[in-house]
Amino acid sequence: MPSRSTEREDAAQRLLNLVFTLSCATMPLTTEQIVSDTDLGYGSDNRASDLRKFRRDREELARQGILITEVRPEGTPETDPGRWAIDRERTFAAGGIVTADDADLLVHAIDDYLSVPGNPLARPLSSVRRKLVAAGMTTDTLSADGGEGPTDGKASSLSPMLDAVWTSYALRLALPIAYRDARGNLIKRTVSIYGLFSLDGRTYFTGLDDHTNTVRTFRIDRVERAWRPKGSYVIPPDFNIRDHLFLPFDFSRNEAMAARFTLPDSTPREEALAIGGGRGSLKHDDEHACWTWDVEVRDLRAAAAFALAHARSGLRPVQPKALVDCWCELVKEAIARHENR
Amino acid sequence: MKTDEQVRKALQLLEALSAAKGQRVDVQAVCASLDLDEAELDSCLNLISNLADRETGARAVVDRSNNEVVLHGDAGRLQTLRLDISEGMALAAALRDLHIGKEAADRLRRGLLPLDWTPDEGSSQLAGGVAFGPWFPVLREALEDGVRCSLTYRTQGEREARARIVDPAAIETRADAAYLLAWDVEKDAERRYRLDRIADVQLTEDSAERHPYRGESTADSLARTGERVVLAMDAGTAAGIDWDGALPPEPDVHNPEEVRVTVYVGSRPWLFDQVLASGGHMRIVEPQEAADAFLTYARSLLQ
Repeated sequence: MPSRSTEREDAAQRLLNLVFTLSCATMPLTTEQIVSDTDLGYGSDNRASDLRKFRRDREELARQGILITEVRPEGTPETDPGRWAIDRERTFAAGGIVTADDADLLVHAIDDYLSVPGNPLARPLSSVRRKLVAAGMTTDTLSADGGEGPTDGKASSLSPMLDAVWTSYALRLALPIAYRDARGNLIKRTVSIYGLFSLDGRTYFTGLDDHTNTVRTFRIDRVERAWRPKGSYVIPPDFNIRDHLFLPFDFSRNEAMAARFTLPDSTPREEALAIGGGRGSLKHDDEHACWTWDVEVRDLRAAAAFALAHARSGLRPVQPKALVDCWCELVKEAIARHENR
Repeated sequence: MKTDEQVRKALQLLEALSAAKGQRVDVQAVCASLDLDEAELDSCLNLISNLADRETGARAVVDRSNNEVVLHGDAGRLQTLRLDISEGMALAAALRDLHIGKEAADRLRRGLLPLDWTPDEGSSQLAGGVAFGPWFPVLREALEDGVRCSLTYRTQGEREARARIVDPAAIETRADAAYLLAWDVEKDAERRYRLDRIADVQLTEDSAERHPYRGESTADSLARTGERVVLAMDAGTAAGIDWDGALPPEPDVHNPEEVRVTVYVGSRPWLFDQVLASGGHMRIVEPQEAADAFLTYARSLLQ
């Protein structure tokens, strides 16, 4: 009985053989040419089985990005057997569309983007960068050691847990993990991952947690073990990762309450967004010539402190009154500390 | 490795070999790049070595020697594949966060993304954590072409943005923000500008000149040019400080319940805001003039 390992290798060989043979072929191959070919990995006594295998192989290669389609040259009778070829336009990167300037911009932009500590996109973007260079779209070249330039080594230095989380998210398969929370409790749970983000150099993922049956956020460096992902899921269409980017005023068991802050009119929009981390709702108030930022807070004192930490930017709390009172109180406490020295 | 993983890695290896100079790659580098151990690499090489086409006589020839893997001939060369869904999602997020212009972004999508797949433009599942601002692509162009720029920028504490002529040098990133390292031509000095605080960038007709950048860390720069301020606080508050210009806490000889933290700061308003946010847990002790200025600043907020 062949081992599972041998079966996997045979299947992998057959898939690669199919790609290679179709790439080398000077014209599309007929179904018969393919499914009767023992060198390719078909040609068993059971033609129906080989036909099913060929169909499953096309599906698997499509998942890998290699699209094998049926072609029917003009004038070919309908009764003629199907012929198969790699759909080159849909399979291979189209270098003629992307300009060298586009590719150079993207390669260097990716290098800047990936230099942010904790970026959750490191592995897939490193792969994108490698493909840009490999496709000859950019003036960058792969070095003789196969290195990718500035991101060289970054992909390899990634946490294996980040790889596991990313793969689970990309495949939309729930990820069983052993997670140690901030209190030190180690709990096994399965998370259907809805999104990822980085904050202050750390990487987080958010998803439906089967242990609590709620949407929770987890820190990747607290995942102690991950198992093979399984169980497909769908991300709710109204899910927004920015609703889960936490700020200092989120860490409380209190009910969330609506708060409003203002920023001066002269604040660039990007800066206003950056202060709030994209949380809540930022609008320009034309009547009062200022920005208003509406966000839910759980800890009033922490929200007041957050506003004071950005006081020089003109960030001021305006609602609720309790928040404004807290803000004034903090200022008075700091003044008192300096007056009573 | 599972079947799909073996196939994916073998295809990636062929892509890498096809594109590499001389169609040869270093074993360690390619293993790191493709996340393979040596046994998995040998497994991929074995799969590739078995590729042959009876009709055309073509065969993939690959071998490993002297810490290199080499692909011989043209038969095994593989054109670069379009991005898969996972890579496409990452690219879509990066194009959005980096404000890459619509026309360039459209070309990149058409050339690279799977043709049957459209990334959700409102995709709200990924967040990179740092804002690069809408002027990033123009700054990148200025850096690549070595062009002097007119930068409209609002320094912290200034009410209005103002224009300044700069020679861009590099994009630097930290956990909290992305910065442009540039030379302020008028001030003849090195400066860092937060990308999300840049209001406008215009390329000039002039070329950027070479300047004597110090290449020092933020902490070293602050220690050299910043104002020295000493704060008093309890040990717990001191433990939470991760400022670039802060030195390790020292015991307070006058008060065993407190420690002294020496900080070098580039902006008094920034320091004053951190002291305010601590709600009375921090006190400026030196210089006295800074403590007095803090009181003036704090009182002005209550007016």
